Amino acid sequence: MKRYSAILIGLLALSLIISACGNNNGNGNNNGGSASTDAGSGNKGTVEEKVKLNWFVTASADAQIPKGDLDFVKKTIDEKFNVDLVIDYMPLGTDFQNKLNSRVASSDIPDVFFVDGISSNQYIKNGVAREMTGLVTPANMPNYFKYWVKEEDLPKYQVQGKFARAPIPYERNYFRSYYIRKDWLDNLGLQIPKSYDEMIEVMKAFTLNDPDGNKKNDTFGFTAYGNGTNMSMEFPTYVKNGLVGDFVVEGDKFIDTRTDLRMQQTLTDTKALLDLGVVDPDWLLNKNGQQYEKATQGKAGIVLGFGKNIAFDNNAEGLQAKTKEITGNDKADWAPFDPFAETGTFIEPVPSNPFLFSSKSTDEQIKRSMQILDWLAGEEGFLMTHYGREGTEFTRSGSQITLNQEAFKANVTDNGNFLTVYQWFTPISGPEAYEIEVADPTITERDKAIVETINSYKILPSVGTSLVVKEGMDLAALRKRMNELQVQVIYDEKDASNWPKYREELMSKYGGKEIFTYYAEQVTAAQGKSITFDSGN
Amino acid sequence: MRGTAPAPALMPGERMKPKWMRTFWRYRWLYLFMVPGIAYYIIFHYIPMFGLVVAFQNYNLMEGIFGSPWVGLDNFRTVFSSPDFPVLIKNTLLLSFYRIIFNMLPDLVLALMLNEIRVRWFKKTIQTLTYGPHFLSWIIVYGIMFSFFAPGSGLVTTFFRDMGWGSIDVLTNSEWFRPMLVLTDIWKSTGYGAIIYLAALAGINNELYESASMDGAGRWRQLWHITLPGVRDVFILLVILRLGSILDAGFEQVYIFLNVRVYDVGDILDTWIFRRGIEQMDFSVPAAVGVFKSIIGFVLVLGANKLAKRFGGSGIW
Repeated sequence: MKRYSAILIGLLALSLIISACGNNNGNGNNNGGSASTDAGSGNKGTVEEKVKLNWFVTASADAQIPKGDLDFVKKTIDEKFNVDLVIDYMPLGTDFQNKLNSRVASSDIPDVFFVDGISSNQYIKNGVAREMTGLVTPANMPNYFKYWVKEEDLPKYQVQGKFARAPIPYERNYFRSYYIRKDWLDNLGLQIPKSYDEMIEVMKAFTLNDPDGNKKNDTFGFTAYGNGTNMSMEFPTYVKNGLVGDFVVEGDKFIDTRTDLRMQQTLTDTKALLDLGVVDPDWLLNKNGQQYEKATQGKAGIVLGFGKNIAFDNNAEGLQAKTKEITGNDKADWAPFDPFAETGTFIEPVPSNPFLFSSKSTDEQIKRSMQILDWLAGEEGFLMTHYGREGTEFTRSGSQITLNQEAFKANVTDNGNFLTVYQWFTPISGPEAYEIEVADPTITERDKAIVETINSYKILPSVGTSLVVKEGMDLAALRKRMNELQVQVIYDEKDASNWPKYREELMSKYGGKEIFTYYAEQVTAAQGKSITFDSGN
Repeated sequence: MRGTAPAPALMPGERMKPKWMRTFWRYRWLYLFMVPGIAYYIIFHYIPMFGLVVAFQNYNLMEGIFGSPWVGLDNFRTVFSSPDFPVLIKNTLLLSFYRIIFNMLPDLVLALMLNEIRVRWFKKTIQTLTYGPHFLSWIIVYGIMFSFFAPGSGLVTTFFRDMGWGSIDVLTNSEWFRPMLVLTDIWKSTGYGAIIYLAALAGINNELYESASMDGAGRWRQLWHITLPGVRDVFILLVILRLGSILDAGFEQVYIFLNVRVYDVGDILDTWIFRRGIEQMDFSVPAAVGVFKSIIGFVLVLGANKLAKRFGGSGIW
């Protein structure tokens, strides 16, 4: 026994030494890193070395970067900036967050990364994000400031008293709209609904009256997605009860829509809607994207769509083309509508999603990354990442570009639709900012009418700033409990009369009062007038 | 080797070495063979254990283990005073007990049944078929379950509805959630779990059966008096090992099957740790839960081993 313990002690000592060495090595590496940083900045003016860059960004679910020179954007960037740019990409969502967090936790922080507004706080607090003072400036990123973001808006976007995140350019319109099967309406002799009640009537007819004429009871009025976690905000019952977007300001009151008292009526209405049996019963377990699958399979007649071209005739991945392809029905026709078009369908976008720099990257890596970002924000980069190469995928004469759809399909769409990966920094649907017009022969009159319809919707003002969760508060726990309670009301309780009690629980036990009061203080600061939050019932 | 190498005679003038050094020298090659195994455990199991100190710190990624401030037992207080904690513990323990009870017996039963089959090709076929699902990932199993039981479009749900038998709701029903987890787990892992018992069964001396049948014991008698005692040690060993991980209720499966309607029965310690640690980048509190889990597991393994010995069997050590 004795000898074993002696050996054990010896091995333990050895392991301590090994781990101590490991630490020394770690420090050594850090020192090495900063040394090369100095060298990098000292070398300014001399021939630039090739730099390896790694970014982590969002992309649409179908996007995949092809290998080698097929990815002409990477080729251009690599040559232009003398870098080796490796982009990691995923659709935004929990998995995106988890992957990024795992990488950060293992000290493999991407040089530039995209993250949603609220999560960015955590990275800034932990020092993962590098301060941008003196980096993100009009001198360093002229295009970014010229076309997209005003310098005076940046302070509003600072959190924790640090300038460590900057907004990515954002679209002034979400192009958020319900879409309805116009051909089904025609089959049943119905009109496009103009109010909530009409919308419900249409859902009933779509469910019960066999709109596709296949003599089978296999259609639903509406489908949505709840990711298995929450009541979907795609239900029209929110806006019906005045709950638009995530947060609104009403008078001098800050409203967190999903925990507001009016949720009681929203839940009641949603319960009633579900009881009618007109909603796809899979909605709660549907992941984002599955609602479109249901719609394109001809199983549901109304769905909420995002993005300008989601139902364009020639968008091969869009609702319209897919529905025709899958159902084989040439008459399929998705038309945009919103029952609340007159009173307000949604809130205007705020700069919410930022890009961050890694605090571990060298100055040179950040410098090159900024040059590339600014190129993406400029005319040349924008055109290439949205329309392909001049002379190949499009031709240009003056301020007009004409698209060559066949080349685009062959070189981009069929190569994994990879341009959407590079569009993360400019998720904008058109080059109007550069005063360039697109002549796209595939845009039909119907497509133009869709855009016109959606542009006519009334959009309500936003709270005007992006919000930060108070230090030490657990917003995720609050939202999780909130989702749990709401789904419980919908499925397991006879009515929504418990909501005020549940709201009380969220406000006190889960810290809702403190979180939202802190939000209200930020809105007060942004809007310059006193806004308060009322947590009482 | 033992006994063949006599202790080397003491050279004149050489000092008498302590006894342990002499034994160590005598078995030096055996110790040398041990080194890779021990190194593995040290590098991959013992050194990472120092990471547990983050449970007593307010861990900050950039500061690291050596820079983060110490907070004593604050993280444990946070855990034990959390409103979720009692539910998490209850769900975890229940699910674990279900798994021990309902997953270990089918393994044994399947092994016994396979053991009775005398036609070789049939036995091989069944064995292959039953352990096939072990190699499917939980994502795929969930995909299969979803296609069968999706509340709206699932194959089985649609069948039930069309037959006029009403609706069934397996994926989002609190009452069904745990049985569903256990049943899918049985489907997936029973065949594989039976292998270890089959090995134990193969090790039973055939003469025992022969003499038993000479004494007039039938199949059931033989099963009771020879086969079951033959696999008892393996069974107890597995129970002890499983008790050690009683606070692991199968993260991967639960995480994939979980949805908001079954949080009350399906949220376990590990899913909570994952949410808090990876989704929210809060490492200290989950680490505290990890320490707590390990201590419980450690105590249980020691206790179970002692019990197993007391009741006449042999423990692990």
